[in-house]
Amino acid sequence: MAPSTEEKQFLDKILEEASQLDSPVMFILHKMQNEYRSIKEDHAEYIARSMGKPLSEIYSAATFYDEFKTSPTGKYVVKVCRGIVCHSRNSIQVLNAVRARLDIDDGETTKDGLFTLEEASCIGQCDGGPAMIINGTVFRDLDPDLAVSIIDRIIGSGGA
Amino acid sequence: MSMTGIEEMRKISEQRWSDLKGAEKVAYIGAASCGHAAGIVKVIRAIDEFNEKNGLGIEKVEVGCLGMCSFEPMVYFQKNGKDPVVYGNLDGERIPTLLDGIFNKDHYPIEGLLGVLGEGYDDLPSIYDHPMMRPQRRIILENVGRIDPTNLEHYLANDGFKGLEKALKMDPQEVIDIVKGSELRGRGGAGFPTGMKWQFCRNAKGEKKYLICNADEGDPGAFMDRSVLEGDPFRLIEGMIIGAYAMGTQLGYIYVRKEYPLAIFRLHIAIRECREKGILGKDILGSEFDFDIEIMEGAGAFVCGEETALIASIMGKRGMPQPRPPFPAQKGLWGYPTNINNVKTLSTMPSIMRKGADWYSSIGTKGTRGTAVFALTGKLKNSGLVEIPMGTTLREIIFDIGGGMDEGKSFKAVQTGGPSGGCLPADALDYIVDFESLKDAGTIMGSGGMIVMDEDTCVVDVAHYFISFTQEESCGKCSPCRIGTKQMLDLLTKIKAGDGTRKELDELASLAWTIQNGSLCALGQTAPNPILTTLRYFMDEFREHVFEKKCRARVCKALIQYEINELKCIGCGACERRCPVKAISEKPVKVTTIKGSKNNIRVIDPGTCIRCGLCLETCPPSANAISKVSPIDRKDEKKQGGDGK
Ligand SMILES: Cc1cc2nc3c(=O)[nH]c(=O)nc-3n(C[C@H](O)[C@H](O)[C@H](O)COP(=O)(O)O)c2cc1C
Ligand code: FES
Repeated sequence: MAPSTEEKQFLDKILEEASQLDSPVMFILHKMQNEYRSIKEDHAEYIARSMGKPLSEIYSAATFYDEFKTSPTGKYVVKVCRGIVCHSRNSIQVLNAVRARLDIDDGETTKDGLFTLEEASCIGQCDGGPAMIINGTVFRDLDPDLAVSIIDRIIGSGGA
Repeated sequence: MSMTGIEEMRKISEQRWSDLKGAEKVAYIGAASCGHAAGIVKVIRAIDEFNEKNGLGIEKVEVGCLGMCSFEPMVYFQKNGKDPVVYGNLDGERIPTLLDGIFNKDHYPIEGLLGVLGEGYDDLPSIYDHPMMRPQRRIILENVGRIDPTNLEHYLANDGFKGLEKALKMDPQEVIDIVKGSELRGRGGAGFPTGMKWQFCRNAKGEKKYLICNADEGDPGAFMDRSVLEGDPFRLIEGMIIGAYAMGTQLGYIYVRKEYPLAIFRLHIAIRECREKGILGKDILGSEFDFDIEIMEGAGAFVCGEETALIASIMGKRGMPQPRPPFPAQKGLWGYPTNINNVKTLSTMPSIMRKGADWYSSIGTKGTRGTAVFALTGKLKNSGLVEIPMGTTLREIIFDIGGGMDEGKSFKAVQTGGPSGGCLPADALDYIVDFESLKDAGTIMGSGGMIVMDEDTCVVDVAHYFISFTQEESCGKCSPCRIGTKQMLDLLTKIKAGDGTRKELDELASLAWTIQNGSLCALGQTAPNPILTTLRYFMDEFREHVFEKKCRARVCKALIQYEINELKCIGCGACERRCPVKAISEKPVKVTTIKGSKNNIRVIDPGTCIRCGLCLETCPPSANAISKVSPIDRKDEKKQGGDGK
C-alpha cells in the first residue's frame, strides 16, 4: 500500500517543517502519531525514502517508544497513573472503574475506536493522585465515580 | 534587542509590576497543573460572578504554584496595594463571603487563611512563617507562585535576565569560573560538579556544540521539574543562555516529557517571547552571541532520562544508553561536544550569576552547596514542592514542613531517589539531606522525589513496585539489567504470594550484587537499591512474609483476608451488592436494624474473595463491620484463646 494523495500532502507538509530542524525524526514521528494515531508502515516508508534513510532506521525508533504505535489507538488515549503514590491512594479502583466503564483492559481499544486504555507509571502529578491524563489533559484527585464521569462526558459530547 | 533595549524594557516592566503591586483590588490565581485540577475553574467563575454583580473591579492575574499543594486551590487577594493575603482550600461557594469580607467590610475571614505573601500586617501572619514555608530557602523557586509564568514583564521586574546581562559582559571563562566557585553540583541525580562539566565542554573542540536541558523527569514520586517549568520557564531559558555563552554553544534543546503538556505549552510561549524580544536568536542583547532553543517532546521511555540515551533519542534512534567514554562533552549529539544538565541545575544559574559564587557556596553543606527542591508526597499532612538548604534533616522535612503523618498514623519509611534510591526507616530520620549523607544511609538524594510512607505501607510491596518499574523500563540492551531485574521481580512476587523461603531471600541479595556491578548504565546499576535498603532496614518484615506468612501492613493479598464482624454487621447487604465476584452471602443470623426490620447478616467466603477491598469501602461507617486481617494472627489468637480456657 502507498499513502493516499491526502496522506502524502500531510507527510510532505511535516517533512517540510522538519527540514528546518536540527533533529527531525522524533518531530515527524510525533506528528504522524498525532494525526493517524499510529505509525503506518507505508507512511514510514514514504518518510524514509523522502529523507534518504533506510526504513529500518525510522521503524526501529517507531517501535521503541511507548508513545508510538504500530496499530492505531483510539481517538482518546486514557492513561491512568499506576505510580506508587497514586497506588497508595487506591488508583487501582480508578483503573478498575474505567476498565469497567469502557469494557476493555489496559492496552486495548474500544470497538468504536474512541478510547484506548493504558496504565502509566507516575505522570508527575503525585501531589494530586490518583491522576490520569487523556490526550494531554491532566485530571487529578480522582475517585472511581469522578473518573467515570469524565469518560461519560467525552462520550456524551460525541467524542468531539 | 540591545542591552540598552532590555534596560528600557525592564524599566517599563518594573513600572507595570509596581502598578500591579499598588493596585486596589487584585486576585492572584494559582494556576499550575495542581491548581487547574483542584477545582480552580469554579473558584474563578465565582470570583467573576461576584465581581460583576458588585462592580468591584477586581483584576485577575494567573500565577504559578507556591508548592503548598495540599492547600490548592489557592487565591491571593490584594487590597489597596498591600501585600496579598493567601487563601487555600477554596471552593466556589465560599467566594462571595470571602470577597464581601475582604473588599467590602475590611475583614479577612479566618477560614482557609494561610498568610500574607510578604511580611505580616494587622494581625495577619506572613505566609513565610507558615510551618510549610519557614524552613525553606527559595532560590530556584524564587518566583514560582509569585509571578505570571508566561509574562516576560513579570520576570524582568523580578531581576529576570540580570544574570544573563552580567554574564554577557564577562569573558566566557569568567562565567565558568563563577560556576566552579559556586561549587554547584548537578541536580539531575548524580551530583556531578557543574563548573567542571561546563569546562570540559568549553575545552572540547568542535565546529559546533550543543546544550541540552534534561526535563525528562520520570522518577515515580517526582514532579519538581514540572513545577519549575510550569512556574518559571523564563528562568530556565536564562540559565540555558548563560550556559550556552560560557561553553560556546549555538543550539539548545529542552527534552521534556510528553506527559507535561502545561509545561510544554508555557515553554513554547516563553521561547517565542524571548525570540521576539531578541533575548534568543541572533546577536542576543547586542552581544554578537547567537543561540536558540528547540523543544523536543519525549515519547514515553524512562531510560531516555539517562544522558546518552537522551542524545540517541534526539537523533531519532532507540533511546538506549551508550558506554562512556566517549563522554557527551567530547562526542555527544550528532558527534559534537554536548553538555546536559537538569532543569534545576540550569535554573540555579541566573541567581548564581546575579549574586555571585561566594553567596551560593555559603549556603548548604561542605559537600553539597546550595539548596535542593523536593517533591514531598505520600501519607503526610502537607504534600507539595519545597526548596530547602542542604543540611536540613529528613525529620525537619517530613515533620516540620510536611506536618507529619496524616490521619494519626505512624511513620514507617521515606523513599528518596526514586527507583535508584532507597527506603529509610524512622531511625534514619536524623540524617541530613545532601549527596554524601544519604549515600551513607544507603540511598541517594537523587533529583528530589521524597515519598513518605506510613504503617499501612508494606515495604516488600514497595520493593516489588520499584523493581517492577525498573524491569519495565529497562531498555533491554544489557543482560544483567534486563534479566536480573526480571529475576528479582519474580523472587519478590513469590515472597509477596507467601511462597518465599530462605532461598529467595538469599538470592535477592546475591542478584543485587550482580546487577549493580554488571549493568551498562545507572538504570541497572542502581535498580537494586530499593531492595537492598529495604532488606537492610526492614528485614523483620521480609522474614515475617517468608517464615510466618504474614504481612503486617496487610497489603500483600495472599497473606490477608477480609472479615465481617458478626456483632457489628447490620445486614444492609451493600457489600454483597458491590462484591465483583459474589464472595459475600447471607448467613441465617438475624439482626434488627434501627428501623426495626430484621436482616440476615453477611459472610465472606475467603476461597472466592479476590481481596479487592471494595466491601470494606462500601460498608457504612456507622456499622464499620468489615476489616482486613492476617489469617495467621487469627490462628494464633484462637490457639491462645483455647489454651487460656
Ligand atoms: C535511568 C536514568 C534516568 C535519568 N533521568 C533523569 C531525568 O529525568 N532528569 C535528569 O535531569 N537526569 C536524569 N538522569 C541523569 C542524567 O543521566 C544526567 O546525569 C543528568 O541529566 C545530568 O544533569 P546534571 O549534571 O545537571 O545533574 C537519569 C539517569 C538515569 C541513569
Ligand atoms: S504516582 Fe501517580 S502521578 Fe506520580
